Amino acid sequence: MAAIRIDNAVKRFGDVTALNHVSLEVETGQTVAVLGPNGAGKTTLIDMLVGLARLTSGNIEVLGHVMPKESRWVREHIGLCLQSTTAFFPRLTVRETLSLYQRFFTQRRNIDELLERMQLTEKAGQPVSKLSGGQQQRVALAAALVNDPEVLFLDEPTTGLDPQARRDIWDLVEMSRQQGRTVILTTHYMEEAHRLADRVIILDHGHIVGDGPPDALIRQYAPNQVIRVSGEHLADLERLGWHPVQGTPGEWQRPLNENEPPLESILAEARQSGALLQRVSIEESSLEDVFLRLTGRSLSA
Amino acid sequence: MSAYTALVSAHLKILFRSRDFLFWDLMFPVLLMILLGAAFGHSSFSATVGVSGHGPIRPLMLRTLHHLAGVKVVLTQAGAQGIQSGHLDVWMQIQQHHVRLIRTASPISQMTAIVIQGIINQMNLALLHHPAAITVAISHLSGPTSNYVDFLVPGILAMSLMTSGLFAGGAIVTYRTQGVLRRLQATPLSAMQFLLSRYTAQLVLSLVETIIVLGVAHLLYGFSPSESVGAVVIFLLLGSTGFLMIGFFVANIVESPEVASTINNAINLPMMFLSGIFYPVGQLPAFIKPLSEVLPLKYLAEALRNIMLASQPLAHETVPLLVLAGTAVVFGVLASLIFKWDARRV
Repeated sequence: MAAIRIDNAVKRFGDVTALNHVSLEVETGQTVAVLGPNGAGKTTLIDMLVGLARLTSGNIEVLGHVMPKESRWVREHIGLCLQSTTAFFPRLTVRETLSLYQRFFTQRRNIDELLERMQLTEKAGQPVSKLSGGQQQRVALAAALVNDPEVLFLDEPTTGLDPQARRDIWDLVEMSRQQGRTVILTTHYMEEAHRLADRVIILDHGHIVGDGPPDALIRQYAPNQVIRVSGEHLADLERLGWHPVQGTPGEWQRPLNENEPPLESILAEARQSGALLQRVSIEESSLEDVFLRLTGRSLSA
Repeated sequence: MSAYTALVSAHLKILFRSRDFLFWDLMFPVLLMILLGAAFGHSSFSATVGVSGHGPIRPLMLRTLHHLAGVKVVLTQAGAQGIQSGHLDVWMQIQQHHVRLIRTASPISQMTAIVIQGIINQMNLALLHHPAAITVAISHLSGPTSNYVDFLVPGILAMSLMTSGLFAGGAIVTYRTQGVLRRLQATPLSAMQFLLSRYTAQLVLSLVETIIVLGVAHLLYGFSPSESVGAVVIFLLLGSTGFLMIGFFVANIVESPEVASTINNAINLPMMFLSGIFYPVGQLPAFIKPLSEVLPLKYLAEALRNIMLASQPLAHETVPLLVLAGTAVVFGVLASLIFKWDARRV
């Protein structure tokens, strides 16, 4: 049985179409990453799935139950982790927060065990607001798991976290996934999608523009290697078909495939433009390239 | 423990761990009461009488004056200076069987002179063994001018119920903008369960406020309300429900906590000053009086005062009863109709 079935979903806010005829099926046990820049419709999609907002038209079923008509049943069996870490009651401790959320469900997990799993045992007596961003996000994740949900929704679970905190969250999501839960996460981090998901869905302007396992997407849409350089006087490279690497200033890259000139002449051309190349590397394509190819934009832009 | 009781206890923890709440909702009304009580509470009679001269009636006069509550007796040879400098309110000159009272035009002085004159008349009748043709008895009833503290306490109580009800609304707006409500909405919890739990917490809170205000008033001023506990409880219940519902209503028509607190102040301040909390509504300028007639706080304060001080039966308080119940129902229904979990437009 499909854990999630979305059929021709449309959501409009006034003139803005946040979801434009989206159809999608997610198998039980799958981990799906929904990738897209801000405003692509990721959060709207999650909102529709957990019944926080109504569709303009179309149909959504979660665990075989129609949303939002059967929200109450569905909400018993799902967990939600929001991107906002302020979404907790103030002045309650970690343990109080989790015990409170647990009471909203019929199916209740043991709080001590959950604290242990989320590495929060030592912080149990502290107010949530006094914790670091990463710790707060672990509390949010724990709160999403208090009812041992069949489907776990994570809305940008690591946005704004430092790399270590991000890796901690990844490990915890990985654990949840191994327990057989269906996981739907939105992200704009390629690495996150690649690392966690069996399947990546690329959303742009409310459309699904790409859908498949991360490696298959790369093979299909960005089968090529990339040449990447760093050095001095690189500004003129743009004219030669290079572009700056997102997130690592000072590095430039360009595709390297059968239709392109051979490596030797690419480098010669670069040197003639006045560039002083200090480092040269050949890289496999990533989801970033897939995204660029499918949407014509960089994800982090 | 069910979701509902867990939420009630969470609300109470959140409230009682907040310094803002502890100060503004619990301490502030009490401080205000103490401050105003200290400033205006001593309206009881006090006067100084200077006595000079000699005569057979002097010992009797002095004994009588000493028994007069609020009257301080000073033996003096310089009565005129005492009156002029303001140290004496009345100067009593005794000349054998004649008493001469010298007073000023001040109300205290006039009143004291009349009181002494009345006593002397009583003494004359007693000395003549003449039975009184007309007897009189005076009993005590608290009015706004007779005992300010008695007037103030029920008003302060009503005011504190109002402030904490409006405060609760503001907290809900904060929850909404921070996504707390959105997160709750994604659980099986219903809006009604959430609002009811907050309402229950508010009733507990009102009880605590009542105990604190009345307790301090009793300890400091010996304030003891009438025994009609049932009627008092009914009004406390209606009052806190009404003001919480106004708070809930405001919480659902505004987007940001800042706007909520502005609107709450716009409700709070006029209510506080026009509802006869600190001084009787009767003292308001005539053109503003009609405004006070539409303020629920006026009805709550008045009803509490009538029941606590004048032991007015509940049946005489139907107008405030209906006004407060109406406020609670109208704003409660409106608030639940327009209740929003989410700050964003959906």
